[in-house]
Amino acid sequence: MAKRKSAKKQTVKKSSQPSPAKLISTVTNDAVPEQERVQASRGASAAVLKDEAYFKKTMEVVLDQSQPASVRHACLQALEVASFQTIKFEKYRKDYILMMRKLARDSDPEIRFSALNTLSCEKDGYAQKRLLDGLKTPDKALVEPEVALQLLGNDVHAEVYSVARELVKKPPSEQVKTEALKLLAADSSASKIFEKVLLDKSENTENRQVSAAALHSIKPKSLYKHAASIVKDNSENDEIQATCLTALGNFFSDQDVKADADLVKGIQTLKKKGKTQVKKQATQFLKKFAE
Amino acid sequence: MNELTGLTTVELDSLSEEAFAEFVDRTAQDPAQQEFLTEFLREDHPVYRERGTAAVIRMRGWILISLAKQQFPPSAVLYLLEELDTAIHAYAVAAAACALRSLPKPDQLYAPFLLRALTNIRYHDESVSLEAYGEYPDESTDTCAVGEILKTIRWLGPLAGSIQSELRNVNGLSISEQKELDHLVSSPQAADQDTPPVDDCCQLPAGVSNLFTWMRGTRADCTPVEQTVFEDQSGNLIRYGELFTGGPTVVVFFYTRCDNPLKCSLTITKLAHVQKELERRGLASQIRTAAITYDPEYDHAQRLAQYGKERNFQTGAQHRLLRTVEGFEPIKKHFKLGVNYTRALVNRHRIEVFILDSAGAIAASFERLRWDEAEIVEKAVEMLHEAETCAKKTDSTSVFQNRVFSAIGPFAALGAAFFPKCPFCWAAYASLFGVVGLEQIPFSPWLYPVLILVMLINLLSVWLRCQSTKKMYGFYFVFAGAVAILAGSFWNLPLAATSGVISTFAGSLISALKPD
Repeated sequence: MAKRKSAKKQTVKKSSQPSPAKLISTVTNDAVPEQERVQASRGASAAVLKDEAYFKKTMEVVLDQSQPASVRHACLQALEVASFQTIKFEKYRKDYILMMRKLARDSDPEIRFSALNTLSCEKDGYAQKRLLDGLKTPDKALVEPEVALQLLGNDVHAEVYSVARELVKKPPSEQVKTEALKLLAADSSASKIFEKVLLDKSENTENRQVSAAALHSIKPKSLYKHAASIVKDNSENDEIQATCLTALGNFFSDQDVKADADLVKGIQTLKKKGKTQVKKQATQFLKKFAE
Repeated sequence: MNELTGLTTVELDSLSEEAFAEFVDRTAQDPAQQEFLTEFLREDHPVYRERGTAAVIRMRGWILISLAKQQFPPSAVLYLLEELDTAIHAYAVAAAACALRSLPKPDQLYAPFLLRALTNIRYHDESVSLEAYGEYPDESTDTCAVGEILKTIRWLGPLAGSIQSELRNVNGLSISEQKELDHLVSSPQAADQDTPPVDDCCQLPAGVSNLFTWMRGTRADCTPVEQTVFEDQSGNLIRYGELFTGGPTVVVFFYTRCDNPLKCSLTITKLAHVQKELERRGLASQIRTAAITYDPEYDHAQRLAQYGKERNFQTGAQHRLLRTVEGFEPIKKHFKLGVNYTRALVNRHRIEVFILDSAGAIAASFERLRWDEAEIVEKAVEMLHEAETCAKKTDSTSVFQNRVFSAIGPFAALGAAFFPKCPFCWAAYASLFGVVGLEQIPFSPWLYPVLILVMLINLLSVWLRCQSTKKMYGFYFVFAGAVAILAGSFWNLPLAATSGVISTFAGSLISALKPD
C-alpha cells in the first residue's frame, strides 16, 4: 500500500513537471517574464539532449545579445551542464564550441569569462591565441590580465611562459604578478625566479607562499634548504615561517632534521615566542621529529 | 641559407606563424622542394622550439595540407598515419585524413588507421578550416575531423570493406554525419565480402615502415652516454654503462604531463604488458625494461614511481623508471629523440621504443605508431640470442688465441735453446741454412734476449691459462723446459737444451687443449 502511494506520488510529481518542449518554449519566449524563463532554463539541460532543435533554440537565446542577461546566463549554464553528458552531447559539440568562440567576444563580461573558461578547459587553440594576444597587446584583451593568466594556466602546454616571465619582471599589478608566478610553477626552468621571490623579504606574502609551493613542485630540495633558513631567521615574516614549517613538517625526513641541530633549536624558539599560527606549526613539527 | 626562402637557418627557425605559413605555401608549390618541406615534420625541428602545443599542431597540420596540394611525398606517409593513429586534436586529424586522399592510390591498409582516427576523435571533434592557415571557423562549416575521415573512407571505396562491421556500430554522430556514415556502410561498394580482413595490428602499406634496425657492427656505440647518470623511481643513482650493458633492454620515452592518453600513458601501460610477457617466458631477469622521462626536471623519483604504479609497471633492479640528473641533452642526441620543448616543457613528441643490445647500443627502434608488445618482445629476444651467440664465439676465439700464443712460445724456446752464442756459431748456422739463403742474415746478438723474453712470456701465458683451467701440469712441463733451456744455454749442455725444447713444446700443447 505504502509502495503504491509513493509510486502514485512520483507519477503525480512527474506529470506536474513541464515537458521538454514546454520548457524550451518558455525559455525562448520573449513575452514570458524573465524570472519564469530563468526558472525554466534550469530544466533545459536535460531537454536539449532530447532533440537537436531544442539545443539550437537554447543556443540562439545565448547568442542573442538583445536578450536579458539573466536569461542568457541561465541558458548558457544549462548548455554547460548538458555538455557533461559527453556521449549524448557529442552531436552538439561542434556547434557548442563555435558558440563558445563567438561568446568569447561577447559584450557581456560574465558571458565572455564563462565562454573563455570553458574553452580554456578544452585547451582550445582559439581561446589561447586570443588570451595571449590580450596579454601582449592590452587593447585586444578580452578579460583582465590576471584572469587571462588563470585561464591560460589550464593548459601547461600553452605558449605563455615567456609572457609570464615578462609580467613577473614588470607586473602591471600585484595580482598579475601573483597569477604569473602561479602559472610559471609548471615551468621547471623557472626555479631561480621562485627562489628569488621566496627569499625576498620585501615581496608580498602571497607571492612568497606561491613561490614556496612552486618550488615544492619543481625543486623540492631547494625549498627545504631555503625553508630551513627562513625558519631559523628571527626577522622573518610569521606567515612565511608557518608556510615553511608546514613544508618541512610534511616533507622533511628524520635524517634531514637530525642533520640540522640549529633548525630544531630555531623551531623550539618559535614555539615559545611565535604567534598562534607559527606556534601551532612549530608544535606539530617538534611532535613529529624531535619529541 | 635556403635558396628558395632567402633566409638563414636561424631566421627560418624564428619565423612568426604567419610568415611560416607563407614559407610553407611557397615551398610546397615547387615539387623539387617536397622532401625539404617534409623535414619540417620532424618533431625535433628547431622551428618548433619555444612554441605552444596548439601552435605546433597548426604548423604541422598546415604542412600536411600544403604537401597534399601537390603530389604527397611517399616519405611523409608515415606522418599521416601517425596523426590518424594517435592524434586527439581535430585539426591534426582532419588535415591528415584530407591529405591521405591526395595519395595516388588508395590502399586497404589505410582503413584500420581511419577507423582508429574515428574512434580517437569522438568527443573531441570541432569545426575546422583547411583553407587558410590558423583560421578558426565562426560558422558551421562543412568540414571537421569526422567529416574528413568519412570522405576518405568514401575515397577508399571497396578497399574499406575490412572496417565495415565496425563502422555499422558507430552512432551518436551529428545527423548529417550519421547519414553519411549510414550511406557508406549500406552502399553496394561497401558490401565487398571478398575483402580479406586486415590485421589491425599495425600492418603498413608497402614502402612505409615504423621499424628501423641496425646490424651488429653498424650500431653507434654508447660511449657518448656511458657516463650519463640516471635516478630511478626509488632515488637510486646509476650510470648508463652499468644499467644498459650485460643484456638487452627495451627502452621507451615518456613524461608524466603528457595529455595524450594514446601516447605516454599507453606506452607505459604497454611496457607493463611487455614485462608480463617476459615474466611468462621466464626472461624477466635476462631482458630489462626501462622508461626514461623527457621531462627530468619535473618528473622526480616520487612522480615516476606513482606514474608507473598507476599503470602496473613493475619496478626492480631490471625494470626502472628513470630521469637524468645532469642534463637530458646527451641522451636526446644519442637516441635522436623526436621531441621538442617550450622552455622545459615538452610541446610535441612521437612514440618511440628502442631495443638496446647487450653492449647498450641501439639495435632497433619503433617510431611514431602504436607498437605491438609481442613484436617488441621478439626483437628483444633476438638481441638475447645474439648476445649468447657472441659469447660462444668469443670463447672459441679466446681458445684459438690461447692456442696460437701457446704455439709461438715453444718456437721462441726453441730459438733460445739453439741461438748461436757468437759470430762463429752464427756463421756455422748461416752455412747450414745457406741453401735457403739465410746465410745473408748478419749476426744479431740482440735477438737472443728477445727470444728469452718471448719464452718467459710464453711461460706466463701458459701459467695464466692453466690457472683458468685449474690443470697445472702443462705449466710444470713448460717451466721445466725453460729451466733446462737456460741451463743448456749457459753451461753449453746441448742435451739439456734439446730436452728443454721438447718439454716446452709438450707443456704448451697440453695447456692449449680444451679443458674437460
